[in-house]
Amino acid sequence: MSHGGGGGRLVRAPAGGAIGVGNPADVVTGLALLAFAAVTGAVGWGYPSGTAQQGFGASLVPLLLAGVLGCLALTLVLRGLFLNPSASPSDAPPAGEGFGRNLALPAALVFLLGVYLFLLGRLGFLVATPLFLATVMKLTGSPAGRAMAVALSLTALTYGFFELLFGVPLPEAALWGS
Amino acid sequence: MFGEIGGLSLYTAGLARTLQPDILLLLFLGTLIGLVFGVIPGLSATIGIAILTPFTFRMSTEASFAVLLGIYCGSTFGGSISAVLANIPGTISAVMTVQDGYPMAQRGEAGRAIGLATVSSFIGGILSVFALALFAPIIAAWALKFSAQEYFAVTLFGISVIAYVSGTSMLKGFISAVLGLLAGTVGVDPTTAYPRFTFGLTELLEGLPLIPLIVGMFGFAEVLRMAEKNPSRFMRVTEVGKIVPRLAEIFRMAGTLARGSIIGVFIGAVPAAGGSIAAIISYGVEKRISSHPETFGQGEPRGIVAPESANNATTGGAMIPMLTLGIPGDLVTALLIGALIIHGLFPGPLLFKNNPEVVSSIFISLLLSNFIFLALGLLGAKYFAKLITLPRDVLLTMILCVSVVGTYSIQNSVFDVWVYLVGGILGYVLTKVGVPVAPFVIGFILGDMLESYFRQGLILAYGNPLQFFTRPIAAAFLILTITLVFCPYILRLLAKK
Repeated sequence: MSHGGGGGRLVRAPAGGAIGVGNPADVVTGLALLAFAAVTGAVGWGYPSGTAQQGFGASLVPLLLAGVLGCLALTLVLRGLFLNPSASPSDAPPAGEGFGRNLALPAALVFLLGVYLFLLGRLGFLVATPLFLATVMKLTGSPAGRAMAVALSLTALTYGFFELLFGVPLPEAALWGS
Repeated sequence: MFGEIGGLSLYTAGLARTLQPDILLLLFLGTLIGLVFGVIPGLSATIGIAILTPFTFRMSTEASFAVLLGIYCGSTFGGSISAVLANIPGTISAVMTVQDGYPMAQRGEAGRAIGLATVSSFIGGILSVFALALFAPIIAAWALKFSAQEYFAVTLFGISVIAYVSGTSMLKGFISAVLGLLAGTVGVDPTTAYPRFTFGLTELLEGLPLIPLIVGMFGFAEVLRMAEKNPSRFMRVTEVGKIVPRLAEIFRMAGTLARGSIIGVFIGAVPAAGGSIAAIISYGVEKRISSHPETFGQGEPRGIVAPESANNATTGGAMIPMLTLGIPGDLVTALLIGALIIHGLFPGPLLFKNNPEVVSSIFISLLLSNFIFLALGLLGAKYFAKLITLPRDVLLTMILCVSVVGTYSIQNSVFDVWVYLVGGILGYVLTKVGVPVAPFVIGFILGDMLESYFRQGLILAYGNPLQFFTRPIAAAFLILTITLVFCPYILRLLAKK
């Protein structure tokens, strides 16, 4: 049985009885944050603690914040485990959010941007940028002609604006290591 | 009245510098760009300022704020155009304008609706600038007496309020704020210069770069969200006729204008309560006191005048706590704090004392921006409306290009663009799991100051944090913060019994 809105789900335990998981998304988020808080705290523990006259050193605030985050994350996990989302619909993520829907295009854009940054220093701004922008437009459903036209126009405009008007040097090709 | 703050010269200190052709041109361009960002649904002042702040990096402080404040005012008004013509608020602060603006457009009065929205926004904006100019120096003079403990308590309260009201979950709001504060600890420790969370990267010694992170969390995250929806969708808009409203009609609604403006100024001054809340409250008040409440939602002119005067009145109101105490009234003013920091300035009473020309320039720029969008709105609204039909894939690509290159241009650093990418993923993921982004950004921007005040306060208190409670103002704000955090849970427990 699944609940709408908050995404809560009632899970049957194999040996009879039911385990209520109010909001699995909150449980997962809370556990991830708990892990992050633990790692942050562990790293912060290694920083110098200092004296009262020094304001207690570099470790004070990271440890405090890691502790607070850990408590908040634990609260989120417990809430996700035991709270029925229909009892407090205001705690549910807004309608339409949540993972698993239409993630392919956003993921592709992230990957493309990473590739663009990798190629920027090698191919230079004037080559890498129209290729990147045209690919983005093609992925979003634009016809090839319009994609190329918009990509070239935007590249020319930004080059003119930054390099020529503002004097901001944009990356040049370094294919040959120059 | 002003004490150590410069008195009447505070208002004139920036006149000579601001009334220069280059500054005025930038103010015009900023307002125009703001209008564009406001008209196009899905964009907003926050995204506009986040994306365009890198462009202002090399400008003077006055020039930079002319652009950014122009965007702020222009976009707050611009949302009403798509609200009236396309039944979609261009910005969230135009959420109530849809109720009566679109019905008016449907019966052939689109021009009248936009005219009313334009003039109402203008009057609300002007009144808020006067309120800002009147109250800010008084509060700043009072805040000069603050020590580190008071600043810590006030800043912590401000962050807590924003975390409390952001999003749909208070718990997630606080998680977001703490994550932002943690992100702010990256870099060298402000007191001992010990590197924290740099992992050997010299680029991180000065901390996570502010603008790339923010541009990523808003700009790139918005691109990713737009990519999820139908990127090639077109929208239809209603035709617009004559726009300039009759003066007699404006005078008849003087009471509505005054009420909306006052509501907007006060709501704007409350941290995290922005234009949308002011618009909703103002609309509700007007409907309640109307002798014909049944006309609201059917194309009632007051249903446009009330929310539009209120939402633009929040612009000046939100600047009051931001300039005087360093507490952002909304997300846009949080970004403006970031813009101040980039120019080596910090909000607070010392800004009034040591840089009165900057404060004066901000007042003047806000005032003039309202005149600019009045002219642009009355003369050009029908042309701005065509922006609503811009294909989303083109819009998405433009935002991506401008924000990536703008981010790179700050320090000519590809590392900054990697931070932009990571910030975009973070902003996107946080939204997906229901964690609001605003408290993160505000925590990140204010984190350094908060830590400095805290540790200075501890030094002054010989390491005893309870000493914070011996100072009345610090104690009051700390108790308010604690109440804010725990009261809802206690009330809920009591209600269950």
